[in-house]
Amino acid sequence: MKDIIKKYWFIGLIIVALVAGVAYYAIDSTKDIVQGKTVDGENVVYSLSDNDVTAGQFYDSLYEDMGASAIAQLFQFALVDQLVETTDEMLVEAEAQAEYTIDQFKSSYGATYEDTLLAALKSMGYDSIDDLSTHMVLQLKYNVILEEAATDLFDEFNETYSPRILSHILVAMADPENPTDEELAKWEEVKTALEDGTSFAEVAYTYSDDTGSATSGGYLGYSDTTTSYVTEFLEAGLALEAGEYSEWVKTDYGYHLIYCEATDFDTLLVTDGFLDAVFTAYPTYISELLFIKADELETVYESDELEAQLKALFGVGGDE
Amino acid sequence: MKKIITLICLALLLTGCATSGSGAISDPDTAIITVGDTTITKGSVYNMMYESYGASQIIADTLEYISNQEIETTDAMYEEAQASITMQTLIYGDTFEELLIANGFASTDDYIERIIIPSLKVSALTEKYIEINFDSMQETYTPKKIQVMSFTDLETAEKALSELASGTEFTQVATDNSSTAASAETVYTVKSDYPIDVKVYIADATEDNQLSDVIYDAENGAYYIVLVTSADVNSFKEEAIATIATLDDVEAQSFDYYLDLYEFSVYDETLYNQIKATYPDYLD
Repeated sequence: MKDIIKKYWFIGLIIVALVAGVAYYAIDSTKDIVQGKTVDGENVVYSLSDNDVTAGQFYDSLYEDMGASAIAQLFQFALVDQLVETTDEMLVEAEAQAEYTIDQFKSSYGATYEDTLLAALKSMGYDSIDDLSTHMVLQLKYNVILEEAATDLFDEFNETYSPRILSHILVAMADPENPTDEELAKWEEVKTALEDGTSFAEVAYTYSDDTGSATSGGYLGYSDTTTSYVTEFLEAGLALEAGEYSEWVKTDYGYHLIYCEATDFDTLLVTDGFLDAVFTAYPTYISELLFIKADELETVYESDELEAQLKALFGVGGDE
Repeated sequence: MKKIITLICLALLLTGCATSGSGAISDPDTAIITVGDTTITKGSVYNMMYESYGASQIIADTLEYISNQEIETTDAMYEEAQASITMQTLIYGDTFEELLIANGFASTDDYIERIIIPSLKVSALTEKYIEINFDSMQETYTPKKIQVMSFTDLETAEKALSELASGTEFTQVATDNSSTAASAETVYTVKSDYPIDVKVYIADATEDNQLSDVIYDAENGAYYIVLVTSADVNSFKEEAIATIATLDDVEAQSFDYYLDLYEFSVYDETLYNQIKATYPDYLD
C-alpha cells in the first residue's frame, strides 16, 4: 500500500483536488437554485409554516389590488390596435422610435439597460425587447385616435376656448403709467424697427424684454381662454385672427405687441399643448369613445362586475 | 482511474441539472375579455401583475398573514384608523371618497379594512418583536427620556443653566431664552440626531433628572444643555418600544425575524430572484 501511495501520490492529489472542486462548484451553483413545489397539481409560489400559497391564490391576491388596472391597460392596447389600421409609415416610424428609446436606455442605464427596458416592457404585458416597436406602433395608433377625436371636437372647442398660437414683443416698464425716458426711447426703437420692415420675430429677438420668449422670436405657443396670461393680454391676443397684430397692449409689465400666428386646426394639431388642452376640456371623451368602439367590436367581459370596474377606472358611465 | 474520472464528470453534469421552480397558474388560457379578435387571458393578466408587483405583493401578503397570526385587531386600531380618515377628509375634502373609489376601494370602510388596519397591525408586529427582544434592543438602542435646549451663544446658554439651577422648569427656560432645539421631553435612542458630545453625555447618564453643563458642539457652533429625565428604560418601556419601532433598521430586523420564524420559502425562481434583489435579508 505504501508503495502504491508513493508511486501514485501525485495522481491521488489531483483526484482529491478535483473532488473538492466539484463539491465546491455543486454547493455554490445550487445554493440559490429554487426548487419548485406543487400541491394538488398547482404550482406553489411561496409558503409560510405549513401554509402553501398556490399560483392561483397568488393571482387572486394580485388581482384584488391591481387586477383591474392591469386589465384596463391590456384592454386599451387591444382596442387601439384594432381601431386603427397599421400603415407602412407607422412601421418605419415605430422602428425609428424604438431605436431611439433603446439608445436612451443605453445612455441612462449602461450595462443594465436591457434588464431595465425588459422589466418596463414586461410591466406593460410584453415578453421581449423586440416588442418595443410593437408598442411604438400602438402609441402611433393611439395618436391617430386622439387626432380624429380632436377633429370631431374642434368646432365646439374653438367656439368655447378660442385656441391661438401667439407671439409677442414686450417693452418692459417699471410703471407703465409713467414710463421713463429710457423706456420710451426703447419703445420708439421697437416701433421704428417694425416700420422699417424688420420682421416681428427679429425685433422680438433683439428688443423684447420677455427673455423667456425673445430667444424664440417672441413665440409663446399654444394659448386659449384657460391660459394664465394677464386679462388685458389674453383678451387682446384671443381677439386676433391668424396673421393679425394687436395694437400696443398695456399691462402691469409694460407694453406688448401681440401677433397671432395661426388659428387653424392643422397648425394647432402639431403645436405642443393643443391636444392636452382639448382633452382637458373633454376629459372623458376618449374613454367614452373607446367603450363605444368596444361595443361595436362585440367585446365580451368575464363578468358585469369587471365591465363596471373598467368603466369606473376609465371614468365612464358613473351614473349608469 | 477511468471510473473515478467518469464519476467526477457525472457529478458535474448532475450539478447543472438542478431544477428551478415556476409559479405559473394552472388555467392561463381562461378568457377575461375578448375584444374583437383579441382575447385577454388570465395568463397575460397574471404575467403583467407578476412581473411588476410580484415580489412586493409576496412581502405585503406575507407580513399581513404573519401580523394576522401574531396581532389581534383592537378597537383602538379602528379608532386610530377613523382618526386617519378624518384627517385625510380634512385635507382632500369631499373628493377623498371619490379618490378611494377611483383607486379601486368600495368605500372608506373598505379602505380601512384593506389598508389602514393591516398597516397598523404590521406596526404592532414590530413592537411585539421589540417586546420579545427587549433586553438586546435596549442594549443596542439605549433609550432614555431627555429634554434638550440649544443656543448659538455661550452667554445665553450659561444664563439658561443658571435659571435651571434656580429651579425654573426646563421648557419655560428654553422658551424664555429662545432655544433653537425643541425642548419637549422625548425618547432618545442611539439613532437620534444630536452632536456626538451630547450623545456621549446621554449615554453616560445613569441617574434620573441628571442635568448637564453647557456642552459645546464645535462642528455647528452650538451650545447644548441636556436633562436626562429618565435613565431607567423600565420606567417608560412602552414609549421606548414605540420609538424603537419607528427606526427603519428595526422594522427590517422584525420582518426578518418573523419570516424566519414562519419558515418563509419561495418556490418560484423569478420571484425568488426579485425578492433576493430587493429584500436581500428576507431570504436566508
